[in-house]
Amino acid sequence: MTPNDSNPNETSFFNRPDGLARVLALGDSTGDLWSPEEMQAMWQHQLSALLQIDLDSMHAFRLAELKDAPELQRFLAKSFGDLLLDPQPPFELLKITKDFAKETLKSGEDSQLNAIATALYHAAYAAAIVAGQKRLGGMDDAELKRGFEWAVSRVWLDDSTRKLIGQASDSLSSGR
Amino acid sequence: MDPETHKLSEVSESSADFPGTIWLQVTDRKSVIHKYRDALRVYLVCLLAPFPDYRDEADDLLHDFILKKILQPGWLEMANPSKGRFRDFLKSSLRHFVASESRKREAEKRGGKTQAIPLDDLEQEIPGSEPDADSFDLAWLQLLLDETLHQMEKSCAVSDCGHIWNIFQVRLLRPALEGVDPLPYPEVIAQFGFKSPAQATNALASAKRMFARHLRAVVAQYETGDAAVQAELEGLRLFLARTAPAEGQKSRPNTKSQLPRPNPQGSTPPLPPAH
Repeated sequence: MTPNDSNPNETSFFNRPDGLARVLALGDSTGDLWSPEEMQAMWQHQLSALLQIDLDSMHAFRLAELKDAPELQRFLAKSFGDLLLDPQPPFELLKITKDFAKETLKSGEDSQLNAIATALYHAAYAAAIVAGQKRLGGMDDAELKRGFEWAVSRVWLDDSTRKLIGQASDSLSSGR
Repeated sequence: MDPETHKLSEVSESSADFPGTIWLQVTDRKSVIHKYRDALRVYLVCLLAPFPDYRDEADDLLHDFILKKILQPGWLEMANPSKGRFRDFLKSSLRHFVASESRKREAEKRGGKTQAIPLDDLEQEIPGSEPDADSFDLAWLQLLLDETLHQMEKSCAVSDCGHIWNIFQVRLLRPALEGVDPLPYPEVIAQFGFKSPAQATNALASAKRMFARHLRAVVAQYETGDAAVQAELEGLRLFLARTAPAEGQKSRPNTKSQLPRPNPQGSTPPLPPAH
């Protein structure tokens, strides 16, 4: 569909300076791609994304090493959300998830996608802490606390993940 | 091909009439003229509007302008980038040509005796913005954007990236052209089958970059060099802001029918350390 293909009534914006200005601005690199209200849908989409689809692209070799591990078999067709909320999430899979989120941040230019990745990063850390496991990486308590506070303050975060991160943050405070 | 000079290394530069580096530019510009003659016609019609005796002469005058000026060897080379924009050169040249032609015709009618005629006024510089020039620039911009969208759609079809064109339409182009709401995120992922936010975001970002690339390529058909292309785009933006100041000064309207706004929760998230 280009203006010449459209109903003349529908191309009225193309004949007006304001419409032309909007079209001319379509290539601008500034500004968010999605509305703030859509962030919730994006986060839900991330939680429901299958682990294998996203992680495969970046960590195929690590997944290949782990795929025969018994504790990982049950997660092969599961989602990120399933992993984070599992009472006994496999440590290595949380670690891969954390690294995947970190690489998305390093290579990504989109601020909204980066926000999703940051939330996922801290959710992975939180899941490991709540499951009573060792830390996924070298972040200290102060850094984690800041990250957890940032994550739970996102209006688009779902209640279950907010609760998970809150529990992890509380355990940091209590020194566990 | 060197994008700056349009120079083909294999083109001979021994021609006395058309050195190889310029010939390709001239050829490109002929195709530009062919594409933008509609804009020139719009301008000409507006120029002639105050002169009833010449209103029906627009097509003939444009035809003669193209034959006697544009297609003449060396004429297009007078369009010097350092002297201003190419389309301003076209407008100014057409204006002078029309005044000159009308003088000749009037002189012929009077058996060779010349006298001042109203169209001499066309050669006077009109201070400030002129409606005639705005009509040309608007028409030029419409053709430019139409060509950009056409090239982008064609490029997506050829490279089997139809989904890029489609997501560009539903999220960006239709809202801009028709004032409709962008297709919501859940419907985007359902329609296109994106498996993650990264896939959806990357597709939409690619579409924007592709539009920007094609826009620059279309402008580069008549403006030489990155700086000239950038200046032309900026000039067109300023022109639109001037032409529609009420719209240009508004922030995006606070209605449903709008493109995404900056995220109010967009504070920079804490970045993970390098471990």
